[in-house]
Amino acid sequence: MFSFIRKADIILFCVLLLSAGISAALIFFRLSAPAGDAVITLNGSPYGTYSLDEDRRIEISGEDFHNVVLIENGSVMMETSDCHNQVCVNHKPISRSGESIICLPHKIVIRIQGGKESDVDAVAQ
Amino acid sequence: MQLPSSSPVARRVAISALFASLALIFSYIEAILPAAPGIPGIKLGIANLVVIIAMYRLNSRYALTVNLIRIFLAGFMFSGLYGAIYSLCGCILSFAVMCLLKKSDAFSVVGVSMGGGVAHNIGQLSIAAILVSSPQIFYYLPILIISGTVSGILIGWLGWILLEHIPKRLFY
Repeated sequence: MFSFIRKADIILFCVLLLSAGISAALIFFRLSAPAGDAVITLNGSPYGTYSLDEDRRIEISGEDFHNVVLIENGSVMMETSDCHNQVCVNHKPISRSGESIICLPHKIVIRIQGGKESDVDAVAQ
Repeated sequence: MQLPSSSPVARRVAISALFASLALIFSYIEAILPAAPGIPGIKLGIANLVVIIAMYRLNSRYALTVNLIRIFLAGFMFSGLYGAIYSLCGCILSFAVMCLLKKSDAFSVVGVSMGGGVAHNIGQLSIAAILVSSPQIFYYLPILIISGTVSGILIGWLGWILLEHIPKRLFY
């Protein structure tokens, strides 16, 4: 029934499968998604947007508060905060799109935009 | 069945017109069928069946004409201008690859159709990357190569069955 299949067909088939495999491997191992941005809002208004590619320390301070946000190795964390509950400081570092760290007492929100999709979001789709 | 005698060119033109309308119907069927869940762009490409028959039984110029008529009509009827542009890029690349594979005379219909299916997907992906200006869209490449291969094999196999069973004399 399939005697009309020629040798070149089978070679082409193998080449196509191989190229699919190679491109998949390249995507998974080399071209991982670029880091997104950390968007910081203070008291509901935008404070600044910082790329996760660049390691840096951002100080956010006002009359009665002082916070330090640390961007390191593509993830963001609240390094120090003089708020009373320290929830933001104890939060694990965030790096995936949609994740956020919130310091309620000082009304600071750090949110990741773009970049790698969070696992949870992928499931929710 | 014996068709009334007429000039071969007239007959071929008439058959091309029939093929174009058949391809249009196949495009319509594909447009109303639900797409594969989750991944855009995975389609069977039934219309390509007609193009392959035209390529083998008429010649590549008629097949290209059938293909272009189909793309313009289907594009504007079912998917709008951008749909037509996507379709056009995919089909032109696919058609070029199929012509080359067929000309090399090393491949069966299945090989030709397989190459065409993959080329179609790569063409569409490239134009999508240009239009959306996001190279990240190439993440779809592995999936689209595999889906192009699978649908190409299916269409090629159907094409081979049809080529075996439609009497050749209908076309000359």
